[in-house]
Amino acid sequence: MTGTTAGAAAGRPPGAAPERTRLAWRRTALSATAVSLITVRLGIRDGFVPLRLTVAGLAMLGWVGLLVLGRYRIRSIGTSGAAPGWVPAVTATCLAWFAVLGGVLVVLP
Amino acid sequence: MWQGRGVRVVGPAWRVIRQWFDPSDVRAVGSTPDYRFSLANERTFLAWIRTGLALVGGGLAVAGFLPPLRMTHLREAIALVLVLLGATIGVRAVDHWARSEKAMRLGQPLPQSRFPAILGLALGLGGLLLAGAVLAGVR
Repeated sequence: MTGTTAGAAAGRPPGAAPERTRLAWRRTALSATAVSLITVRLGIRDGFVPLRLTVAGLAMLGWVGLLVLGRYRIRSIGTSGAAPGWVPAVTATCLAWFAVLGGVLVVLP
Repeated sequence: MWQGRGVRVVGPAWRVIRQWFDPSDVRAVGSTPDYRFSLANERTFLAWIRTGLALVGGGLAVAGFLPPLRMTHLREAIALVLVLLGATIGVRAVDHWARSEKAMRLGQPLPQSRFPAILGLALGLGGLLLAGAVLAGVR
């Protein structure tokens, strides 16, 4: 915890940490896909209402965002565990986007 | 959300939010910790994001699959509570991630938080309430 490369300095291999983190991103993308399918169901609940479909489509952008972020981060981790930087903030923004537009979809007549 | 002891990101809210998106300020303090700790912090953050996604998905499923309940707007209310809870978890997750990152850089104790306990209690009580409503035949 004291040095830049405490693990490497101790001669330890990187171990499974990068791999586990990549898998965590894949699980997150999978969860986002499940939520997006539920969003589609809610969008077509009352038949093909253009406004509902539009909002559902906009909500799906949150899903696309999470998939793209996961893909980007999985590549950037590499084997050296580069810092995520702005990625967590944008990830949370995608979740909030999903929630806000999903909430609109819930209250739409 | 700001009650955690340990490291606290000081400053007005907009500054904290800016730090989430541009962590160069955070990276300027202390020293870079063993990256395995950073990756563990990131996985914890992702676990919270999935928790938030589960609540958002649950809320949308309530609205999408339940028939309208006899009590006016009860279905929509349940759905909205779950969806908003999911969004709150997401914002809190990135806040906690940033504060943990800073604490590790400074070699300080990780921030403590009552949020998991409060969330667990709220979800447990909400579940019991809904189970009671189902048993009592409230629709």
